[in-house]
Amino acid sequence: MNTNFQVRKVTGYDPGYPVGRRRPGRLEARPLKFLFLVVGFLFFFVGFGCTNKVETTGVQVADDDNIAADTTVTPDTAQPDMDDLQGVTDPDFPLDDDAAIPDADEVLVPDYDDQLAGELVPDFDEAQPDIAPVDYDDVLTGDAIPDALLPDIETPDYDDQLSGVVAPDDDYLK
Amino acid sequence: MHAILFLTRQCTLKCSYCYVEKHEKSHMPIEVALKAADLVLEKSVEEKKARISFFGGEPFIRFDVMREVTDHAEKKAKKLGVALKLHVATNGTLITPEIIDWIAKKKLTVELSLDGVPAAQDANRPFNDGHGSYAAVVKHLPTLYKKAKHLVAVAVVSPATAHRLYDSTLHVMDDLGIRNFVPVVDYTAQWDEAGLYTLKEQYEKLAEWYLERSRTRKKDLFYYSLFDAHIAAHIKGGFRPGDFCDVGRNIFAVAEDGRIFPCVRFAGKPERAAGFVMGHVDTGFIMKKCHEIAAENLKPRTNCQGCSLDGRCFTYCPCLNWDTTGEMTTVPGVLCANESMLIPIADRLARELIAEKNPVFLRKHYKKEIEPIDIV
Repeated sequence: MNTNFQVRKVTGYDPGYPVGRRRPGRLEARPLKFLFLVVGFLFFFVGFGCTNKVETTGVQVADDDNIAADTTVTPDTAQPDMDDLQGVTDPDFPLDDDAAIPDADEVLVPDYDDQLAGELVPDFDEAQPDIAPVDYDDVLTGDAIPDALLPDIETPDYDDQLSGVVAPDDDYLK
Repeated sequence: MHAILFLTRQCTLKCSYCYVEKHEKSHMPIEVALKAADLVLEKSVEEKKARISFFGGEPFIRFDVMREVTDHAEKKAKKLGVALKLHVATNGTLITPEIIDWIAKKKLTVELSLDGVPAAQDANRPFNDGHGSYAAVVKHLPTLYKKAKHLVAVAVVSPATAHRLYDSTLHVMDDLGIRNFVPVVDYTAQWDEAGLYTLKEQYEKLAEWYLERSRTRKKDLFYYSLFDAHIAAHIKGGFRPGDFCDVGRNIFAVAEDGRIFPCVRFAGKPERAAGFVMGHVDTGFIMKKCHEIAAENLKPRTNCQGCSLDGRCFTYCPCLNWDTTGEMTTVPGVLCANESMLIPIADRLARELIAEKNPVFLRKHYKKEIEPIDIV
């Protein structure tokens, strides 16, 4: 055993840059779902629930400005499928994929008010607007595209199986 | 679950820092290897993912066994619905075009031991007859790098080669073109103040190189573990015991006789580690022992509590701790001294590159575009 050195605790050290590995698709999944939920409710109430005008006589009067005035037509009040909406709106974020849901201990828990107010911090997309789309030839990780040995099995993350030498995840570099 | 198979203790090289006890004819019988593969796959059914790493010695001495185990494991994994990843740690001296084709076909991750410039490689990694191994290792390297899907070069930095770290890094990454390089300090060696000062000088030079490379080669993503791993540790919020070497639960090493150990350094020194045997491929795991080892590993590191760098430095490797201090949870002082020196340098790089909005850095650390290869 090397006895030339002793463990010395460091205190009060600040690295001086942000914590919080940002995983696109994960961090934004929850705010997007929430946003679509809000939009869905607004659409439901504004689009249908508030368009019927009823006089005090109890006789319904048609609203020329709104086709929903025809109460003989049953409005389509079905709740929009959130996953469908999200998938169509932003295919980059596979919100119907469980893996895309952020892990509480891995991802900054977003403050929805801040998110809706456009105050997502840190937003490194904004910090690097000129970045070209990913060229997988350039990317060291050959596994950026899943390549499970078995064609019908999803490639897993090996976050929990690293050795003691390097950082986690093994979307392997080449 | 991850199983590491000691296919042989025989090796073509006689590395000065190797922790594996060598026995010339100590090979893992094919029956043991197959049972080890079965064991890890059967234990991975619920998790649906498994990894088998071939280790040694030089595992390509047993290329026939490696092929047979791979074919068997692939079939069994498919039958069980388990995604299988394969990994080999090699010194590269036995690599041939045939082996490269096989590696490519099977999509093995290759962890190539390469200390850097010829002087460093030949000094610490000679053949058994004493002559240097550099030429043999790089002979097929361009083809290997071209065809292998995943390749990482791993260097061991000893007091004798510390002064060559800068040159070796540039040689491996700039000259040989390997973009994932993991230098590992040999904490079992007798370092002194002068040796660590030499390392610090090398780190400072490498920091300038890292900045320059990040600034000038904006499409050339690279991973240099000395800095990137420490930066990643902070960005992730720090690591905890069990995050990596989850011994007793998610990783085990099988010695050539079938005994199961927590990890490679234990299996590499089976007599010293006799008290850590977690089972045998014939009889399965001794669960009580597994739980005992896992619980021990998950304890806070005894001499690190309260340190601002806890979670940033590599105190979590129970194998290294055990090998250097005799306790899985006691960190060697030389590791602390080196990491305390290195981490502030890495953090300075991070601050500078973030301030510059450096695209390579941001893509590497704040997007999931570059990730390291985990090594055994």
